[in-house]
Amino acid sequence: MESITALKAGETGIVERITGGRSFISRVSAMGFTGNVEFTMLQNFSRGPLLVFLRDSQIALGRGEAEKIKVRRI
Amino acid sequence: MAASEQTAPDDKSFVIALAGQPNTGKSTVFNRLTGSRQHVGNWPGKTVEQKTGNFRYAGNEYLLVDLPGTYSLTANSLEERISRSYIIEEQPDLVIAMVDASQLERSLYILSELIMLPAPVILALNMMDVAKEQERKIDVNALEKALGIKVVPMSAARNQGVKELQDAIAEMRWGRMQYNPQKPEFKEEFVLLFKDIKKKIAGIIPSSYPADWAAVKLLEGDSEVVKVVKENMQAKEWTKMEETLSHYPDGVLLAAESRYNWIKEISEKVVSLPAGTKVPLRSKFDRAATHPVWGNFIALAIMMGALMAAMVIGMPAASAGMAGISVLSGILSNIMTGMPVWLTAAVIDGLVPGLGMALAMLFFVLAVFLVIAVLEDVGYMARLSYVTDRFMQRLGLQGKAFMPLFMSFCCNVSGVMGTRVIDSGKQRLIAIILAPIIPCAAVWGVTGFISSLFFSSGAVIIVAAMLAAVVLQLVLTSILLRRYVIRSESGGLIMELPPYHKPDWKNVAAYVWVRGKEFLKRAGSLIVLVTMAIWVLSYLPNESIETSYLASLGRLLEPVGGLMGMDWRLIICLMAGFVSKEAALASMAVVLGLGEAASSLTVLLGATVEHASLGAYLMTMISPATALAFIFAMLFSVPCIGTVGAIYSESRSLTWTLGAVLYYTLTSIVAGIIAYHIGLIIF
Repeated sequence: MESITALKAGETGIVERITGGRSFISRVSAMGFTGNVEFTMLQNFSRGPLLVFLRDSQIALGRGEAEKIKVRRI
Repeated sequence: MAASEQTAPDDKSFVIALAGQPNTGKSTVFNRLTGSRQHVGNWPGKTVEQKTGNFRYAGNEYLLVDLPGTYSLTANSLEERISRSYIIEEQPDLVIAMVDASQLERSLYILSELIMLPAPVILALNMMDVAKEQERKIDVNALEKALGIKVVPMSAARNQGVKELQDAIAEMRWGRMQYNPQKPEFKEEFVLLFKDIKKKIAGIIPSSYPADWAAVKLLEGDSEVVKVVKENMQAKEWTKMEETLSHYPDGVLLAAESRYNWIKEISEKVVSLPAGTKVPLRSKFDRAATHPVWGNFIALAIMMGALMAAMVIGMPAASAGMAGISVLSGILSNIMTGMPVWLTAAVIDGLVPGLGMALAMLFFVLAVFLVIAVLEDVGYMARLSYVTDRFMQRLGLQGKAFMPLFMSFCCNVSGVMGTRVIDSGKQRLIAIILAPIIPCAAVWGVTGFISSLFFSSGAVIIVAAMLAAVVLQLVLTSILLRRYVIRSESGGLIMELPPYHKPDWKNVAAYVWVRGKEFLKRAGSLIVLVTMAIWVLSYLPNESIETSYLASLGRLLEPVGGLMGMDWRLIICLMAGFVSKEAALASMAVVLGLGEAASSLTVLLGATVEHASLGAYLMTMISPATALAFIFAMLFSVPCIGTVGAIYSESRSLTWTLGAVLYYTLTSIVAGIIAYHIGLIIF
């Protein structure tokens, strides 16, 4: 399983697992990140935050936060 | 609960809570419904802003309570706890759930939580116009059927659907509407678990808690519900409960997934998208605005433009306000002839100039709020946080801290209050302590006046040096805080970038108006009081500044002032800056103005000729080196009383508040001494 940070802009994947504490999981899940959700990477430069599209919304994720979201490419 | 039970008697106001995620047009609907009948205050005992408003519809009175905009209703943030406990404890007659039709899937999430709570819910499906532009078709009737609640399609920014929403509210009031909410269902394995939990917590949880909801919250490990159950349960029972719950370590995720599955099932039935569009195309502007390089240029350009716009609007309005004050003092001095000298002096030299300062600040604050409201309304503000995140991380902060710190350029109080956008407590505390480093508009006013007076064309260099000093102090203080005081990893960025919208001017106007009023009430009255107090202190006991109480205090501190090349008068002005930065300039005019025959403050802030004469008087009084010391001591000075109050109310810690005051007192004196000695070498 790889982190969501491994995906390039335009690539699509499915969230497999979210690691981290309860409050972190609670925050990201309110933004739409849960298991089995499909997403598209909108922007991922080698540094700085990522932009992800999922559940009709554009969500910005810090790199450290994104590392905790494990995904599978499709 | 049947809707008919909700019928309220004629004379009682029907209470409606407005809930929803941020960026769903909640404030637009609030403004459309209540117009000018709004009241801004705080949630009881909390530092979170509470907006309430009244409206009349079809001869009946309604009370609308705006709940804080949140993405979910967990116990993670103060705002979320306020929203849900309001619905559970205060039991409004109705809840309006605001949802963005163009982002239906994510924004319905809050409904999946609201619908579990006891109050009946109406869904306000806003931004139908945006959804239409996306060629997203939503079958409203099917949605109503699937949810079992009333759905009102709206485009609130275009004033569409507001009347229909009012109709729906009235129907609910009179029990003429069905309310059979379909609640999110969990997988079969959970149904048994919930049944078990519900049996165990029956009679344990407060009667206001819906049992279904409490069971899910226990599964999620919700800190508040867990605490309540743990406190009321026998220790042995709780251990058993804990054991049961420990089988579901990802309870939060499971609950969220179940809610989204419920949403997905519904949205698949009611939403149809044109074939082949899964991810919307991003505009060229948005690509640039979020680009790691171009995004910074755009942010810089927009922020500079915003600041200039604020100046362009604020400055002339402020001078117009001051001109009005001169006219007022002219009229008053005519009316007051024959009255006691001290009374005339108090009004003309103390009260009127104080009012003038408050008014001048008000226009500037209004202008800045206008800029903020527009950026927020069009959806750019989130991009700003996004692109500034990397830079802010270097200060040990996150992108969300950029806006509060930037707002501090206008007013440190709004900066400190604005730190609420930061969700991590430690991060927020760092931002609260750092905010007063940013020189506010009043500090720029004072220091700008003095540097242009003493250094004319060299003032540009002074301003550059000031900016460099500010950045240096930000970095040093941040390192100091993070290394030795608040050990904190960065709270991290998780935020929504909302779609762009055309600004809704009515909404913008309401935002500016409400906060302008708030400013006038709180800060305005403080400014007037301080100016008056300083006038009193400088007038008593002998109607002479040289022997006044203020002078005695200043003389007491003269040894410290001497290191900065300042006499007691300038020390008084610096001390006045502690009370409020505006007052530093105001007190300078009072302190020096009493030596002249002319009325003091109006001289300083009014016509340019008299301005120059006061300036000339200042230049004969102090050396350039002292002026430089004053500028830097002012730049690094102790936050004003308003800001100190904000720090205390936001940090809720006397230690932090006093620590910050002490720290900034020291930096102010050190900066003043350094600047004075550099000044002695240069001049």
